[in-house]
Amino acid sequence: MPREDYLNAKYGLGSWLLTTDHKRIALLYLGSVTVFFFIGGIFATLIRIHLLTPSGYLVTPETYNKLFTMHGVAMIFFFLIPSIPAVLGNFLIPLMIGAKDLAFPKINLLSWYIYLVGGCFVLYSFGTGGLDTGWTFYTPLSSVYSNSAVTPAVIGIFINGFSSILTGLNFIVTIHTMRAPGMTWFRLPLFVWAHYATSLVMVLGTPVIAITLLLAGLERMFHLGFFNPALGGDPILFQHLFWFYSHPAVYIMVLPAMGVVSEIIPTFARKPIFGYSFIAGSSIAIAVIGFLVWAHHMFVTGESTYAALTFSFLSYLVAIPSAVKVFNWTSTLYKGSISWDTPMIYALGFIGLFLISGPHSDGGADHQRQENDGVDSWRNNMFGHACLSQTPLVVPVNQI
Amino acid sequence: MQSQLPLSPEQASNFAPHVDGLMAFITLISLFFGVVITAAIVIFFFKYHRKEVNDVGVPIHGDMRLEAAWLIIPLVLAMAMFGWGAVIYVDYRHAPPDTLDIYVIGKQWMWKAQQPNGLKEINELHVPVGRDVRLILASEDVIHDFFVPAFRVKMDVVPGHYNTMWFRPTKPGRYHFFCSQYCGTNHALMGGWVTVMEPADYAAWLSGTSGAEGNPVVAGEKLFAEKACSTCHLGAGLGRAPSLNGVYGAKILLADGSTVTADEAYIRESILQPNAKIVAGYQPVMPTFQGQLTEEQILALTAYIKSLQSQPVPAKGSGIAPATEKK
Repeated sequence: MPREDYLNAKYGLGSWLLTTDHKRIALLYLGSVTVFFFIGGIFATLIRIHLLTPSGYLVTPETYNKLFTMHGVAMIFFFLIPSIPAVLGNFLIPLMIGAKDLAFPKINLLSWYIYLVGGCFVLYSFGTGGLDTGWTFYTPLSSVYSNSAVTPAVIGIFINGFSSILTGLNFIVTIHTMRAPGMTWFRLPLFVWAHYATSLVMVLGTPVIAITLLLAGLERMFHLGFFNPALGGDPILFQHLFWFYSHPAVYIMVLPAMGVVSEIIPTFARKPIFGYSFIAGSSIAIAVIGFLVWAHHMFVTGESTYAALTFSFLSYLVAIPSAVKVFNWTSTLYKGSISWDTPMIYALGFIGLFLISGPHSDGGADHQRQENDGVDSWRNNMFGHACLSQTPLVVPVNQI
Repeated sequence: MQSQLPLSPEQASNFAPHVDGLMAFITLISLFFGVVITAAIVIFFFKYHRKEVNDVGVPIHGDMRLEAAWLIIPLVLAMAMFGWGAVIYVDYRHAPPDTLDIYVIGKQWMWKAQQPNGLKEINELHVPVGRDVRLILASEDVIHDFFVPAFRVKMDVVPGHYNTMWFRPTKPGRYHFFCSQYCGTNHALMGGWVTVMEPADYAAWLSGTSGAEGNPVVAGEKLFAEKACSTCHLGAGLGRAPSLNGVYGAKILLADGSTVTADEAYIRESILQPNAKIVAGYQPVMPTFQGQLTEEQILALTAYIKSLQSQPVPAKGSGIAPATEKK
């Protein structure tokens, strides 16, 4: 008789769709984020085909605008933000801290269903005319002028936010209350530290995007005046609210990947991580300072000089903990016994891509790069290559 | 000082050398760290490659001196980058007194500029070299952004309030500007040209004395392009205004169903009071050129439009009434 494990304990569709086992839920998420990855990827492919020639090869301007918007929405909200936490985090956190499951297994399953419902609204938007506002939904273009299916999309993202919030809540409570005896905070695996920091951001930040998109949707549906200047609203208010979440959101995307790297390098160098407490602390520092830098996305909106200087200063500060991680990872290799296995090569590749994604986009002279290709090159470099390279790590998961 | 490599646009404003200098500094720092860390990783990767199957690494947990070093040194460098950027930025956001003020309005999907004497431009901006210029930026609809790469300046135009930005052009020439905030369907096409002129030429242009000498048809053709009439009145009829090929002397079908013969008076009225008669199938979006053109210039434009009589009339995109009633 083969040993019983989470794959062969029960069979049947019902045993998967009604499971509360964190490992099965992780695989359910794996399936759905992969579907959205391919949807976003198809849009990206169409963009690249269109851009083969200078005058545009394939689609009308309206369609092109929809393609890049939908690529962004699918990738950011339905792939990048959930993927590592909901797949690797769900699967590994209980195992890593010696817990038998997450603190709230049924809420874990509910998170997945909420994700699916949000996804359905967004797919409905894509299918009924698409979305051409840009993934950032700036008003009043999105709330007044756009002629695309904005409302179902913002409803979908609003709903999907709760999936994020509940997952974050689950992780925080699990890590606080379900560690095995003797597993003190500074004995936690760095993957767990990374997800703890990420969960703080998910729980505190996501409600803001939820309410912001809700307000933009209400403005669109009922001609209200939150962000529409013609009715006394302020388009810049939307940007403040949007970026207050969306900047920390990029840390939701990158901190888990950094947690993965912090596990792989010591494992495949067969020595402990260099500077454990600095890597743990830097994850928390990034999460905290990350909430204080949002208006570096608004340098050219006409925000005050003093605000701009403050946000610039804080943005330079938030780079320091990331640098600390890179130095500590590199030092871990020193006098290691380094295997050249694929996960190690991927992790080192992540460091390389992370290093160049900075200068690749702006290297700090952000004013020139506001709202143009530099932003996209950073994003596609960081997430397309660096973070995405973590996904093959899912393969060894089944050997645990 | 500008590099000989095509790494960045021409430096055509007072800010450009400073911004480029800062960019070079940041790039060099980034390159330095990039190279050092990559070299370290590659060297360690090869030097400490596992030799025996059971080899383990040396358990080094950390080193406070190294941690301090790579906390403090990057912090100092980050503050240097911030400081230099802040100095440029504060200058950038505070226009000097006594600027030449030009109003710029962005709307989907074109730019309108108004010079101090009232002269209006579309998708064009003429400025004198060596003078501090301040743009007062407004939007009629959604958020756009006015970006002149050669000047290294950009600023959003936001509906509901004004933004300002200033620069001093340092080199005569023509420089591309772009809308730099996604604003809908034709965002990618929403741009134009900044023309930096010697002060004497700018003054002459401002008072409208250029383009009125010589052959009226030639002068009119120049004006037709300068005033950006050609932006909307495309010859092939695909613009947001009817083609003017074959228009002179023809019967024009108007939106209210009536027709009118396109004579000199009609052309003059269309230029000065464009909303008086709207061609069927078109929107009343043409701006008026009242006060923008001298009578001489209107005559030159009329002469040019008359010369388009022999140009092929497009099947779609002409305001000319059909010869027979078609269903």
